[in-house]
Amino acid sequence: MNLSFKSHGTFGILRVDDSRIDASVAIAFKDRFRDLVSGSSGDVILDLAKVDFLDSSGLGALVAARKLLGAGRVLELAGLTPAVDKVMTLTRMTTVFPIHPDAQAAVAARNAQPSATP
Amino acid sequence: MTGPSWREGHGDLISVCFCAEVGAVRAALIAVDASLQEKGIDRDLRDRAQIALAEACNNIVEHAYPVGDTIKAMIGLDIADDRGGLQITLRDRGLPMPDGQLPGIAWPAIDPDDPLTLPEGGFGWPLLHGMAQALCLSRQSGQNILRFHLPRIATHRQ
Repeated sequence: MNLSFKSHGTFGILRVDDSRIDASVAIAFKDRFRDLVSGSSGDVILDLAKVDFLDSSGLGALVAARKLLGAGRVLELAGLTPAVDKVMTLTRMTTVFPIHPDAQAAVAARNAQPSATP
Repeated sequence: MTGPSWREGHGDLISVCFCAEVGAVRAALIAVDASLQEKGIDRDLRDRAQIALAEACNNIVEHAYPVGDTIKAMIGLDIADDRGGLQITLRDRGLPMPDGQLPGIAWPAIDPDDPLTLPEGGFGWPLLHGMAQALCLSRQSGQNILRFHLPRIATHRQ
């Protein structure tokens, strides 16, 4: 499973460089996700722009990834392609994950937020 | 891993068989998508076919052939044009569905405010039910036969 992670201080961007997150790679995705984010803190933006297919096993892996981050961190999704968007919408996971058109928009939304500290 | 083998069959668009194993299912679905694209099927219908076929095939891999006898464990897939949509038939010689019934269509409960309690499974059958029309399962001569229709225009069950 081809994932890469780049930390940007208060958050990180995790990019998926595979075209499918399905039953054949769901466990590898979870393991790799855990390895990549364990050394960092802060929210994670998952860039799915290269992923054109997600099945229910892949969806389960995204949920597992969300849980791995714990209560103090948020998993945001960016760049949903049409088939991925269809699965996320039908399963109502769009109510669970903050979703952005692409990674750039996810970063811009973050920068536009008022700072939590005075 | 051997790829899907194309065969003479009942589907006027696609007739193929492949091993009931997650890697072989992935390879077959990629090949089926490319073939449907060549035949002029639009992206939205192909995406719905990929989602429905993935859920149906993964169920066969997990439940019809639980012992992992992947030499004999095969899935046969026929796809025919049906009023601009797709009529899909999947056949396997694995275990029958318990009680001969299709699993339920209810979505797992999710609480968006409590992501740490989210279910990681249980979405497969509802997704298939959500995509497919006239979903039916039968058992004939030791074969499970799952049939469903994907309409030309999506009519999703939310």
